[in-house]
Amino acid sequence: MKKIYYFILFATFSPIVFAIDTGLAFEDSKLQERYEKLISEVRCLVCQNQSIKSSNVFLAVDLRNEIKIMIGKGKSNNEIGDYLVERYGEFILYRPRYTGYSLFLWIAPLALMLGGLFVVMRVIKSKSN
Amino acid sequence: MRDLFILIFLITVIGGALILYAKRASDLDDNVNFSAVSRETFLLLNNVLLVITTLLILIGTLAPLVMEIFGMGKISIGAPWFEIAMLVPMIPLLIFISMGMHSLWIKDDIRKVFDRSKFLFITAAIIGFFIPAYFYGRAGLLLVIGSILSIWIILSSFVSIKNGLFPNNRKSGINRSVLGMATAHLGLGFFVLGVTFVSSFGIETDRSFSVGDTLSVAGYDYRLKSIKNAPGPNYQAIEAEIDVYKDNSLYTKLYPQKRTYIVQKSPMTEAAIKASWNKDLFIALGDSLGNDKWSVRIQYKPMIRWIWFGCLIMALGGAIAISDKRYRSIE
Amino acid sequence: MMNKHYLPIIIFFLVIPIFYIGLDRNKSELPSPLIGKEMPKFSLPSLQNSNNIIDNSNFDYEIFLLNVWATWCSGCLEEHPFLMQLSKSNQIPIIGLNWRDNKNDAIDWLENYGDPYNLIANDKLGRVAIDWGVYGAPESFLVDSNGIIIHKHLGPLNEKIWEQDFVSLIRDVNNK
Repeated sequence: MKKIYYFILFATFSPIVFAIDTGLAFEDSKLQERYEKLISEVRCLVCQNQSIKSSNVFLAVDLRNEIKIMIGKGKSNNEIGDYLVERYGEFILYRPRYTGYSLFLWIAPLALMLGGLFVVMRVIKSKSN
Repeated sequence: MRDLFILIFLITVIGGALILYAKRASDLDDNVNFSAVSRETFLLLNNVLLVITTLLILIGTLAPLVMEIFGMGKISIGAPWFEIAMLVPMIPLLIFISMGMHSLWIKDDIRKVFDRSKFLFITAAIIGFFIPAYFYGRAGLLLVIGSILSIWIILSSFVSIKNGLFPNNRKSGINRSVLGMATAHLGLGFFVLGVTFVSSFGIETDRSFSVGDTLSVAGYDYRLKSIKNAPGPNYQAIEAEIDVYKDNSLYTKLYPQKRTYIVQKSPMTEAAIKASWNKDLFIALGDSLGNDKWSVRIQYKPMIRWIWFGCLIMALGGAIAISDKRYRSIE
Repeated sequence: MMNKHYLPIIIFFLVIPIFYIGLDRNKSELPSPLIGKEMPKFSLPSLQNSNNIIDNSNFDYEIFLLNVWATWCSGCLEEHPFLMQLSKSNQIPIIGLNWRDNKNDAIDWLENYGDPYNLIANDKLGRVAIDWGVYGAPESFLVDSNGIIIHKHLGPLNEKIWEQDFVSLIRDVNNK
C-alpha cells in the first residue's frame, strides 16, 4: 500500500528531469559557482537519487531558495550544511560530515594507502631475496 | 522478491568465481624474483593502487547500508566523497604508469628510471601548464596536475609505441605486447585528459529566454529564433530553433524538443547536442514560463569525447596485446 | 587444501548477511532529527482568516497532533476519513499545517470533505515546513505539553498505525 501511495505521490508531481531554475541566482559569478556547487551536494529527498539542482519538486525549489537566501546573508557552507542536517538529518547531504562516524570515511583513503604500502613492502621483500 | 533474486545471482557468480580462484590460484604462483626497483615493482604498485581504488568504491557504496544496520545513523555518500577519495590512489598510479612504462624487467636502477623520465616529464609539465592557461585562461591545482600527468602518459606512450613498432631486434617484427601495452596507456592518457578538462571547465547552467533573446554561456551565444509545433509519429512536440554563434559568426543550429508521447502523457525533453572533437554543446528545454518564455538548461563540455575515445583506444590496446602469440601459448 | 587463497571467499560469505539484512530495509523512512527536540517556533496566518496569527503560544495543550497536508496530495485525501474520526473521538487536538497550497482550494477542500482541525496554519511558501523537516505530505507530528516532538509519522495515518505507534505514547504523556 505504501508503495502505491508513494508512486501516486511522485507521479502526480514528478520532477521533470531537466527541470530548472529560470535564471542565475547571483550576479556575481563566484557566488553563482558556489551556489551551484552547494545545491549539487544536497539530496532531493523525494526523488530516487538526484540533487536539488536537478529536480523541480516543491522541496527542491524551496531548499534552493533557502540556500540562495542563506548565501546572500553570508552564511558559510558549513552553516548551511548544519541548517539542513538539523532539519533533515545527515542523509540530505551527499558530502558526509567530517565528524562522528563519517570521519572514518574520510580517513579511509589514507588508511588504505598505508595498508597498500605495507603489502608492497612485504611482497618486494619476499621477491627480492 | 526481485532484489532477492539479484542477491542470489550475485552470490552464485561471485561465490563461484572466488571458489575457482581458491582452488586454482596456487597454480599461478611462480618463483620469479625481482629487485626493489624493477618493472615488476611498478606493476605491483599499480595493481595495489587499482585494488585500493576498487575497495574505496566498495566502501563508499556499502558504508551507508552498514551504518544504518548497525545503528550509526542514515547518511548519504555521493560525488563529493567519491571524487576526493579516488584522487588519493589515482594520482600516484598515473605517475607510476609513466615511470614504469620504460623501466627494465627484473632489475633496474632508480637513477636511470628518473633519467629516462626526466625529459618527457618536463615536456609534459610545460605543455600541461600551458594548454589550460592559454586556451581556457585558468590553471587550478587539480587541473594542472591532471593535465600534466595525462600528457606525460601520452608522451611516454608514444615513445613506447615507437619502440613496439620498431623494436631493437628488427627480425622479430612488431612487438605486439609492447605495442598493445603502449596503446592501452595512450588511451588512458586521453581518458584522463578528457576527465580533467571536463571537470575543470565544464559548465551546466539554467537560464530562460524568449524568442529573439540571446544567452551567453562559455563564449557561445545562443539565440532563440522560434518556437514551433513539431508533431512526430507517436508524439506531439514543441521545437525550439536556436542559432549558436561564436565570435559573431554562426557556429551551428540546435533544435531541442519538448515531447508529449501519446501513450505516456507526461512530457519528455529531447536535448539537442552539437558534438565535436574538442567539446560538446548541449541544450534542453525546461518549462514554458508563459509569454513564449522558456527555461533551458545549457551545458558546455570541453574535451568530453576524449573520454569515450580514450576508452576505445584502451580496448584497441587490449586487442593488439591479445593478438600477440606469446600470451596465447599453452604451457 | 587450506591456503591463503581461500581468504576472499571466506570474507565474502561473512559479508553476505549484511546484504541480506539490507534487502529488508525500508528505503523511504528517514529518521527525523527533531525527535526529542523542541518544536520549531513559527508564526503563520490562519487558513480561514489571514488576520488571525497562529504561533506557538496557541499550542497550550497537554498533547497535540500537527498534521501537514495539502489539496494536491493524494495521501492526504486517503488519511482524511481517519482524521475526521480521530477529531470526533476527541482523543487529541489536531493542528493543520497547510503546505504550499492555494488558500481557496484548501478551504473548498475542507468544506467538501470535512474539517478535522482545531486550527490550521497557512504555510503558503513552505518555509515553516522546512523547519519541521517536512519532505513529503502527509506528515504528522506528536508534540507534548513542553513543546517537545515525541513522534513523527511519514505517510497517511490510519487506525492500525494509530494503535501501534501513537496510543501508547499518548497514554504515557497523560500519565505524567
